[in-house]
Amino acid sequence: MKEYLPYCTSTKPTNTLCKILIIDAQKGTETIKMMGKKFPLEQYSLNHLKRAKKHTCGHQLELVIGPSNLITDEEAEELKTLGDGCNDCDRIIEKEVPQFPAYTREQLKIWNSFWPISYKEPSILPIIQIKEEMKKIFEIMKSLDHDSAAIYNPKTEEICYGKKGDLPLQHPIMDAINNFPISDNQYYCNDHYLITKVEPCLMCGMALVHSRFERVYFMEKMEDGAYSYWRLHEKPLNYMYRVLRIKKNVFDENNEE
Amino acid sequence: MEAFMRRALELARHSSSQGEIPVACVFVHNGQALAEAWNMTNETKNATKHCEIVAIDEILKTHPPSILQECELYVTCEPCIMCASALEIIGIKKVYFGCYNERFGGNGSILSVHEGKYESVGGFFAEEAIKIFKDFYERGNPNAPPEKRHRPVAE
Repeated sequence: MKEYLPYCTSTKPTNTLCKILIIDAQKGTETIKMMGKKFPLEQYSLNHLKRAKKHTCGHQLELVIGPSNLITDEEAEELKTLGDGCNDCDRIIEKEVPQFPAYTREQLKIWNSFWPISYKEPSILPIIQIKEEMKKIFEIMKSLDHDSAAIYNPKTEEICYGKKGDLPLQHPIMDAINNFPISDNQYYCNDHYLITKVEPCLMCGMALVHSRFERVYFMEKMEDGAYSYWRLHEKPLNYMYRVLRIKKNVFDENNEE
Repeated sequence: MEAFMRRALELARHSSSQGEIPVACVFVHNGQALAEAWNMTNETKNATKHCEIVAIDEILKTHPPSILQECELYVTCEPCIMCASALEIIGIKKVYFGCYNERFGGNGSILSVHEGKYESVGGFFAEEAIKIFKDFYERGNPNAPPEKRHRPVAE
């Protein structure tokens, strides 16, 4: 199985400019504690950053205060005067630091070269391990022809089908979304999977974004497909589902069992 | 031309008053309005019911698909990637749109689906289209669940 990795796993760094306080390492613990109260990193969505970094000359520390556009010069200067008064070497500088957490090991390595990052293993299960669910997905995939698509609810196991129609926009996926039952406690197709033999076209791929699908499973690439050709999953949209392509041989093996 | 875009803006304001994201359009055939529609994602609880899709569905109830190849579209906001692709599939002749859609736009902003397929010109009455969005979002999208209230500016 192949996953089409989204924008958030790109290894191109996205940095943001921050104000940094350089102080004597001996004052580190005390200053870090105080900054935690006055400038909590969560407040700037920068809590993936470690607060401190060793300065190139060993007896000093660099402490990240917060985004340059949100921390005023006065606020930053004030930090220098706290402590015992021996502030000759304290100063404020600015640096580019990673704006987003690292989601992959590869990102971690690159992000760390700018500023130390705390890395938390992403909480997403590797999809191949959910065997029972995969069995069900194969089963549905097998039941489909090239002119149909299925919306699957992994919690209730309910399935809603769509078929290709005569009109130009009646693609199987659009039809399935149109057939999807409306309910008050359901936000579009949130938490649902879309299963199709053929890769969605760009119109359908984007319809799945609007509909807030959780995952898409397909088997055969399409010449001008939404992912293999248009790379829709890599675009900076405000939402993206996970895209998984089941290789045909895997599919066959699983069904011969 | 100006009249069709003005009409689309009027429909967008109406859409807003219905609690729908304020995007609307007019399909024009031989200088005559063939269909008008506004966004209906909230009423239908179907996220694909953007005004372009609603209008195309309406036209195809009474006309053959080939008529769409003779149509021009006036829409208050740049078609999203889904609609831009739909317009390519039906073979639209030309698209005139109002403001750009930097989150989802398929006619230049995020992707250029129209390139080599159909002509698309943006920026007509853009300020007015943006103002309608701003007024709508200041009131808040009444039909979005609270945790989803920060909807993108355009769909």
